[in-house]
Amino acid sequence: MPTDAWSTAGQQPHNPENEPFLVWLTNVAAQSDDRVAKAISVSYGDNEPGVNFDYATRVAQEFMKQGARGISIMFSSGDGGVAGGQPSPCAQGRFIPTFPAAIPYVTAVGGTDPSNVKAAGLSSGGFSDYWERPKYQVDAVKAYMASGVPMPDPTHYNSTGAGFPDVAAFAEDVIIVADGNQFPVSGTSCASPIFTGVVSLINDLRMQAGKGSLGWLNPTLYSAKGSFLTDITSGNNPGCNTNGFEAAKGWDPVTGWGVPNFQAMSKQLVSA
Amino acid sequence: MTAPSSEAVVAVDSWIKSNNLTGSVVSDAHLLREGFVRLSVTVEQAENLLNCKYMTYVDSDGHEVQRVDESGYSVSDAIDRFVSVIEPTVRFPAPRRGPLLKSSPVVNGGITPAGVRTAYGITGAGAHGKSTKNRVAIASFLGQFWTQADLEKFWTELSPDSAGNNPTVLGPNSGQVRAMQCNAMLCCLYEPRPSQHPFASLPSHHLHLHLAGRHRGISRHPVRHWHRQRRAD
Repeated sequence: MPTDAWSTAGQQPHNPENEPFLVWLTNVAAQSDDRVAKAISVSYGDNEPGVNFDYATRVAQEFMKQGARGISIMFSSGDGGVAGGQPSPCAQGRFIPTFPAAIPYVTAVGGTDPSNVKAAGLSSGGFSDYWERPKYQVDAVKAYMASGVPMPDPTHYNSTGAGFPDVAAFAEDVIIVADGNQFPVSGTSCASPIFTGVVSLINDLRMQAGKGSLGWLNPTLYSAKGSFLTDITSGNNPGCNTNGFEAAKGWDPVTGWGVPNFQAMSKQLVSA
Repeated sequence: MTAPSSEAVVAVDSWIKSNNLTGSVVSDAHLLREGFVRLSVTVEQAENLLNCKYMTYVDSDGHEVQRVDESGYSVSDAIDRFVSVIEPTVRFPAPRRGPLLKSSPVVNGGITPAGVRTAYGITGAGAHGKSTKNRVAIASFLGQFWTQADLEKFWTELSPDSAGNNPTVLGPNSGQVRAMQCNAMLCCLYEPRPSQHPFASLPSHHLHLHLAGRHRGISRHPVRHWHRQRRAD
């Protein structure tokens, strides 16, 4: 499958050690509809509190525009459980959401362990302090909160914020090649490209059938209640001296709706 | 984005000239648009320019960064009011996202492209892309890139079906190739090299000046997991 690698140097204007997502997005926007890749994976991110809110809002608008033109954008949810992109100290025990993963216009990919039935403990997830819960997600979060799973104390998180991640994929012991050797690595940085590969295969089938690309995935995903994914119902994402959230039946803020089920995706997202 | 004022550009430009740093400017048009100037200088030059001492700090994982010591730094009056941020100086890297490398190479075990296909049921006619219109992409930042030899080795050892599917490089940084580890998943997707601390990996000492407003010369002590080790070199 033809592959593009976007390479964007530089840093965010307000934070020289963060990524210039806006510069990149203006370049994506400048590519023609025919040429632009319809599934894009990004394994970079920051903690929400480290990103200027006005800048974050502008970036979110660009993601909305790219989703609307038929591009599915996946972001790794982060590797710090409920404590941010990497395990971080939590002020007054407050959980740390990640950016841009928690933006509703992107699909945040959390992680599982190699068993494929349990959440990876590192999988970032929870509820945004920046973005309100989108309408398509309201029922899913309500069901999770009413499910009876043990919940962290509500002072730790924003109970009205957008929940993340949306989905999950392998994030532990993924084999890569570095400096000439195979290495197992762990992180949702692996989960996002893995999930994106599957999305792109579905796009491929759709295009072979004369259909358009999937585009912004989340509304489809939530209205189908994740029925084309395999639900992950065990594990949690500890951080901030808590157990974090628990994976559960249906959507949860550790693994979202679950991991790809390619055969179900082919049926529901291509044939239907 | 707020472009720097022409007054700021003139002041910094003449500061660069008066310090004989013209040859050290490695800024590109994109960085300038964002209000950044990048200088490639030695530690000694940086110490003279900022009236400071650089030390090497190390965290518990052995990552090293070079930062200004506790007595802080200052910058010439000529540019002081035009510069909002100079990095790296006193701000220590926050923990960043990136794959966590484990210590030893392995040959067997772990999640491979074949394992992913089995686990997610990726079989049958749709298991490999066929459409000529379809494309997939990854985006990388912070000057990270893959190593071609590692990518080819990944194809040979783990994903022979993907062999030769070299990605097209796009973006403002497309001419710049820096070493980055590769990881090709499924249809050839890649992982960034774990770079907890991007400035630590720059080949020479780069100073970034952000021209936006008043410079705040706040000296900050290292966050607790960074420990001073030795004079920077």
